[in-house]
Amino acid sequence: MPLYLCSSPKNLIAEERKPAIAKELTHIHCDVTGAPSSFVHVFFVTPDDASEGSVSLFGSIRGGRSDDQKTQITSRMSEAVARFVDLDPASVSMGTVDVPAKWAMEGGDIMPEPGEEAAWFAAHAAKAAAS
Amino acid sequence: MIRCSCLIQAGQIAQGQQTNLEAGLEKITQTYFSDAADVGWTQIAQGSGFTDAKPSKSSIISMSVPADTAQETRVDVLRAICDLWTAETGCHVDDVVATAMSA
Repeated sequence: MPLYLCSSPKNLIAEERKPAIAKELTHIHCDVTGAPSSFVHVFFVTPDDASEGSVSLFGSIRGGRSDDQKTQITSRMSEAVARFVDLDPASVSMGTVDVPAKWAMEGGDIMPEPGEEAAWFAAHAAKAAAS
Repeated sequence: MIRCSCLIQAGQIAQGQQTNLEAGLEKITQTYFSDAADVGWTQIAQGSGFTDAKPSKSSIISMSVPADTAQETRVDVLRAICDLWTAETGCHVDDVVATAMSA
């Protein structure tokens, strides 16, 4: 968590572009939120009902981000995808949903609240070392 | 019905394992919510899943649970999902992300 799902019709996003788009979306999320990159998942999907010539981004992000952070995420990610795919920015839509950290588990541990990642990683590493 | 949406990386979970995972999810929803599981699968094509901007091995399992579910129960459910996934697929627990969401 976060998970960014990038939905588009088949063949709209070239395979060779996907690593760079994933890298840029990961960078934007970390730059805006300060979250560690190891938490960031970016998956590309091609649903049958995808609208032709458009991309839809949907982010499930930990709750606690400010409205300004969410605005930055949606605007910068939409712009980045439009640039990489060579689309009119109006053809890229994006939304996010807040997921309370305490409702998510990653690596066998309940996820930390935003800003508490360092302590989480320390505890997670200690637990792994002890097992 | 308890909706379970599973995002998995193509080629990482065999069909037989998928069947066992569905049975395991059904057992979890029956145990904690006395309800059946409605399991949906989305396979992420090779080259289309990234974690930490690198090719992903992650499975993401989202269970929609009743809004009045206590936090303690959510934790137990999430742990049961992680245990199921690692036991059945042999994956590392770091490659499992589970959520117990309510509307």
